[in-house]
Amino acid sequence: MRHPEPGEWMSWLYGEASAAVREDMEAHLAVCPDCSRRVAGWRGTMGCLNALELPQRESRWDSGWTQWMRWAAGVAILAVGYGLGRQGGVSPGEMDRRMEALRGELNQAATVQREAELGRLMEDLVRRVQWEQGEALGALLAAYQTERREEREVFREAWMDLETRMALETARLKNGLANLASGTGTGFEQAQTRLRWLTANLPIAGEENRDLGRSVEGFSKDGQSKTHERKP
Amino acid sequence: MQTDEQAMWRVQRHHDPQAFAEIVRRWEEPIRRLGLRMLGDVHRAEDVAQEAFARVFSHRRDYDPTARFSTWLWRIAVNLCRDELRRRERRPEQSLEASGVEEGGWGVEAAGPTPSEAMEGEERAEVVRGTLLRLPEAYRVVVALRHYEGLKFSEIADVLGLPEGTVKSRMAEALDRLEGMLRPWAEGLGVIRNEEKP
Repeated sequence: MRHPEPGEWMSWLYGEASAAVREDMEAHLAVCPDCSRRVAGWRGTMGCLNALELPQRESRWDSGWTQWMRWAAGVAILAVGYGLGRQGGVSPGEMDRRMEALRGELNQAATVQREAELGRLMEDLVRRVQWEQGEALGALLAAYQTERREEREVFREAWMDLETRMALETARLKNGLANLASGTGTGFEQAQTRLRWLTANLPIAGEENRDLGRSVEGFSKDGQSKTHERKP
Repeated sequence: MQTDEQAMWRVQRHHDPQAFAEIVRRWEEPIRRLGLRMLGDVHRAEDVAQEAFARVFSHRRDYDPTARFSTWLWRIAVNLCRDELRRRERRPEQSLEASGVEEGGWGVEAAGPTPSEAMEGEERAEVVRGTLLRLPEAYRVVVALRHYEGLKFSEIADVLGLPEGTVKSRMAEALDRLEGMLRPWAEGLGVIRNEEKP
């Protein structure tokens, strides 16, 4: 005879075994005193476990002043209903209808209040999560800033190096420009002298020659305009 | 009414506070009960429930919408209970017996119908509570989820990441161990009849 495994008995005891398996196991149980004893022991323990009742906790949105409000609402319904009945001579059917309407309104108010309390709960939770995320973000930022500080240091060194090189380059360039200017000035003076000589000695008569001579005279090497009287 | 998965999808996609509040409303009590049975301390159970929902929200993007929400939530709660138990192991002065579990059980005042019934009921509950807390965590969690919370063995297997056969074997082993611990008391009260003795 094959005895079902304890795990199989668990499926059976907790109602998870299929109909076919259940039939087989029950048939086995009917003829196997060992398994019967074992199963009875488990059932007894399961019964003991049922003795454990947890303390009922008041729901967060069903405690304190919410309960008081409900009680007050109940009293109000009765009082209003009684008052309506007394004053208006309202028929019982009409009074029921009005009371039903009042109950509906109160239920609606309770639902709104409950939603509001849930909203507050949610906000608390979100704040808490945000705080935790903020902590993590802070740590991340600190790590990032440390890295940035190191990066800044490297950058500063590179910048100073670049500045030094730029200063050297600038000095070199300035020197070159001065040489160039000096060279250009000498060349310009020579060209001016030659032009002056040409103007004086070329056999060009009239206004054209005079204009050419004036334009040569009018420019010096430093770009300043000068006016000279042409010698006759 | 939207399912847990639909509500969680709304939380995940649209950060919908109402959908999240709905999830909290549905699951706060079961998670608190698990914490209470695993830790034996009503205050820590509250903390576990709160922490579990904080994690659900902060890890909402990790949730796989094709998976069952309850399995994911139970797994988070079980892990939190395990973390707490591990913390207690590191701080032996705060063992289960000294973790705020007071004379009345669970660290809160229990309410009973009449004084004598209450006394008997409280005594039973107290004995079972103490016995359950003496069960190793690996067995206790299976009892809490199957016997008290009514999860199927296959779902418990998913929550704990174990083969279903292992979960069933642990349940049987848990009942055997509990039987050994509870028998003297149960026989005295007539909870287990004499003919049921092996």
